[in-house]
Amino acid sequence: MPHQVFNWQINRKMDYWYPEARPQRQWAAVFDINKCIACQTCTIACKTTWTSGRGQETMLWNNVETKPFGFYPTAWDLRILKMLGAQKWGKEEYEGDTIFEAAPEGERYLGYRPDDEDWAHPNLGEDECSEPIEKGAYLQVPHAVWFFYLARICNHCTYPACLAACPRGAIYKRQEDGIVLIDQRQCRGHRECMQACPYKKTFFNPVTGTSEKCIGCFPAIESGMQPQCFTNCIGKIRLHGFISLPEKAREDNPIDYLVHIRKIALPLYPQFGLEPNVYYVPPLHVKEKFLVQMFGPQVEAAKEAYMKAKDDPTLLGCLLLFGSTPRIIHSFKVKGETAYAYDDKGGEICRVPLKEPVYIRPYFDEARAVHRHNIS
Amino acid sequence: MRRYGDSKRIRDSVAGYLLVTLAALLPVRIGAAQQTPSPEEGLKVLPLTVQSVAVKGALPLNDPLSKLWGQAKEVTVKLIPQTAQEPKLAKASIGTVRVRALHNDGWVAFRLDWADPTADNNLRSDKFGDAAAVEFPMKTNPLPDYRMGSEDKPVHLLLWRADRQWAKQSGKTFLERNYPRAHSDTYPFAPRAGEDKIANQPERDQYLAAQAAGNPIVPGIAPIIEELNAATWNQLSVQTHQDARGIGVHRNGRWFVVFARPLVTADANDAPLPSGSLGLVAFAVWDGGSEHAHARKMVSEGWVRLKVK
Repeated sequence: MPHQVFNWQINRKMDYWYPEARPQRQWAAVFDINKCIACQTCTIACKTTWTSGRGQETMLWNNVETKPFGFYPTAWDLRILKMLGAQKWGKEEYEGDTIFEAAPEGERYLGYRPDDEDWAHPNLGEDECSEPIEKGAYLQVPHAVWFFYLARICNHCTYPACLAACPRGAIYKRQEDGIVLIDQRQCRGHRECMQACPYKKTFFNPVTGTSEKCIGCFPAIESGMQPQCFTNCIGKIRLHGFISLPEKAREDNPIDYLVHIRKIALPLYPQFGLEPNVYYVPPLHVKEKFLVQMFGPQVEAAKEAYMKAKDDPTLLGCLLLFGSTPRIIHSFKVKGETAYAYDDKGGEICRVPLKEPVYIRPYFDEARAVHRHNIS
Repeated sequence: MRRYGDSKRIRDSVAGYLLVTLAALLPVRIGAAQQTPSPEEGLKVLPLTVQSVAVKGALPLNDPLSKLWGQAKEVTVKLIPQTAQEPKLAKASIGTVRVRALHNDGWVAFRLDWADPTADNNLRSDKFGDAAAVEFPMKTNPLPDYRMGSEDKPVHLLLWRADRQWAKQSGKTFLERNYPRAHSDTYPFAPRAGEDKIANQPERDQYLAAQAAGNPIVPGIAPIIEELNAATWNQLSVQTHQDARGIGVHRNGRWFVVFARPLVTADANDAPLPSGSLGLVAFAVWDGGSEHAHARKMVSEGWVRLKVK
């Protein structure tokens, strides 16, 4: 029978299959959607590291899809949103049903299993705009239509639906870092996790007969390094770290600072009730209604704070640390015109200037008696 | 849709209070059709007996259609949807299973047959194989719950899965079966044509994580009849010693499946069933076409008596 647990993202207690048991620290990430160009370097970094074996051909633990018409697997969020039906955010808390509370009779959750073909079109809807472009519209600013790129990995949820659903107890959440793993020795391939995960981030390997998922690059985490899809991101949109509970947020923890203190990074579909731990800086140019459905009612406030980051040295410094080091940043500070990042022992990892230094050289090079051209 | 537990919002609202009160007054509660059975129901022994017939010589372990099965008396066991544990089976599909049993000095064999118009033996993300299981209590006193045993009272299971049988017999992977024209530029450490397949085996295994971890369910490796022990729903272990034998045949819209096991083994995890004994047995059937798997299954209504003499 389900238990009552507290989910801070919906600010209320909710039903979950197991009692509340938070790990010692929780694996977390912030993705700045505004910086993503869908180059898929993250996708390939993950693919070549973890899923290039037989049976993993259509398996993308990391994918980047175009919203509103991109999905992997096909229509994953539309389908679960439709099943859940219209729900309501109140002023203080989410007033609708989570997928656990909306479970049909005899089930542990509300969910569906995609068809095999749904995994075959990872670039469906790529670069498609929200609506047709009128003639001449490209001249207008801001643009009349929009799309954005949504990079997705496993959310290593605090209340994973996959874990709740597994009838054999083969899925577990690591106490040391909150990473959610499928025990490859214990899994019996029932695919209940695929049906339960609303983000559709568990996959079936027909060669081994087991389900597989993102492992949060735990060998890297154990070595103090950020995961592959973070360190290979050429747009520097990702920051990995550990998140605290809101009441225990530390101002010098970059994840806490962005999520709890400045509140510019928001969870994906918090209304599902899983307390997902990948947080997104919402895209500035997208219609509010769409974003509220996706990230909750704090979207406008988040966008507003993000817009002011250029005049906010601490926030700017924190954002500039994204992609600045392959190592996990446990704390940071901004002093003067520089942001500093530190490891878990307080040792400095890297420093980043708030403003890139600019050197302007004279057009004419006196020493060589030549004009400089901007070609090299 | 049903709300679990003590919902703060329903509890705090007048409308919710009225709703809860109204529901309590209704003679038949919504969803009552699938109430969880009581623990006592798991100890039920049905007024049915499977009488195993002694055979001289070899048992038809690999022939579910052998004429020898005609010597055994057929018992029809009613099946009901599993509703003791979530996920429950919402819709019944296979109503009965017919059981016959034969034994010789060393082995006992059960033949189960049931109506299933489709032979589902494929495995991919959206396809499930047909399956069936025969269960024995490790001890009859105290009697374990026939629904996967309980923590201190385990059960011994023989599981047959049609997809595993296909993989074992064909020697192919389900990737080859479902996507014969699939092409991948390269698989890490995969042997090229003419190369020794054993070379780089440890490196290649890293890309088949479940296989490298020793998961016994990998298609092609898993036996056709798998021996397991269970000590409640999520306490399932595959036995180290796999002694069971058997095979299934789909004929005229029915599955005929043989489950055979030694009467007595040295394995402490096998339920002893010496010749001349009275025991108990229970059955489960999965319809892959209806996406049955794990707890989503049809089960007998309780333990069935078993005579091996």
